[in-house]
Amino acid sequence: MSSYLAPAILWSAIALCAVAQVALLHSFFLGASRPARGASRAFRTTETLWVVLPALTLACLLAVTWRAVHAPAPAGPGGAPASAIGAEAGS
Amino acid sequence: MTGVAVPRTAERTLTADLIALTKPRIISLLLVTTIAPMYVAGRPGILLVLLVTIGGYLMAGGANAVNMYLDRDIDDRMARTRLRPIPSGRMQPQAVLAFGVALATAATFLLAFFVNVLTAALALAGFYFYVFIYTRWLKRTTPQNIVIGGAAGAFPPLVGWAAVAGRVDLTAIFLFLIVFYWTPPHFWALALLKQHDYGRVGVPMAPLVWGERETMRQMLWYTLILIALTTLPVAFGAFGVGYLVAALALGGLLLWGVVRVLRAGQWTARAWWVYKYSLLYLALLFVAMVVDRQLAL
Repeated sequence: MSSYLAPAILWSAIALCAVAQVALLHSFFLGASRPARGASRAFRTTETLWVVLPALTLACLLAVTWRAVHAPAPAGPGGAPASAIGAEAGS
Repeated sequence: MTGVAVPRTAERTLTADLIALTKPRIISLLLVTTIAPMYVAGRPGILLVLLVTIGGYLMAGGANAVNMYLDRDIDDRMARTRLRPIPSGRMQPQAVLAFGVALATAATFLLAFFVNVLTAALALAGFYFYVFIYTRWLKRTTPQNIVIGGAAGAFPPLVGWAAVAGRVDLTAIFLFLIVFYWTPPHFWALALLKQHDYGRVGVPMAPLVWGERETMRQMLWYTLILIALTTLPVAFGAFGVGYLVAALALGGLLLWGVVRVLRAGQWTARAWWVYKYSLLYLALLFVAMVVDRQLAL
């Protein structure tokens, strides 16, 4: 793979995820999918959890992916990068 | 021949009902997302693939049967589900519960003894998540039921991966999240079409709580995240350019379908298209992963 493709994919994906995730959070906190005014405090708390938890997971995943993309890649058998070799562990 | 003869039609009906309890059409896609990751993780033997297929079917089938037991009070009031074995009166609820638990137990032992403990634990976690987190808790309490409940359907890739690799790594987590983020646009397309059924039984599906347009907008946001996630494994070298092209083409078509729903006044036919295409999308995406990896090995 060419050296510019991996960062291009990474940053495009981060931008796409950021736009979509901000839209989802905006909808929940300020838009059409926010809990009704009469909803109980417990319901609001759990609803907030269901929206924030995937957002945090996604942010963590993107951070881990960023590290995997930028990690030094010592050549393995056949010149494959280390991250790809990890995916072959069971073969 | 001794014993009481069972009428052939009744025997066939019972067999058909037992199979129907496992929801075989849904399981067929789950098995694609179980078996394909095995060939992404390595080159499994045919016996291992067979064991994981049987174990996966039994576990998912058990979860589906227990789901039918727990949802028996609403299934008879929904057009989509009222012909199921319990609401139609052909099977007793306790028998269905016992059948579901027996299938899950058999799957756990099969996977633990003949594959590995991690695979069995992940499959069982998927069972518990579907039964207790989705069906018992989220389904009837929150419009986020499909988002969080989608995790239950995302366990199969982890199961397949763990069966071959004996562990879970970054690529496997991506496969999990791809199914997780695929679930809202897929299922909300159906929820838009069946919202009155859900409304009748008090299940707070997104279109009923947020409205149709907001649900469609959220389908769009989840589709964008899904497309992004399908490309990222290429960035850290898990898949090659061939897979990237397939992921972008398949994802682009899904995005086009969702945008068409969002922009339509009469969206029924377009929502059906998204629902059906999303099934094909997930299957083809996983096939593309296998082809890419097997050609690279």
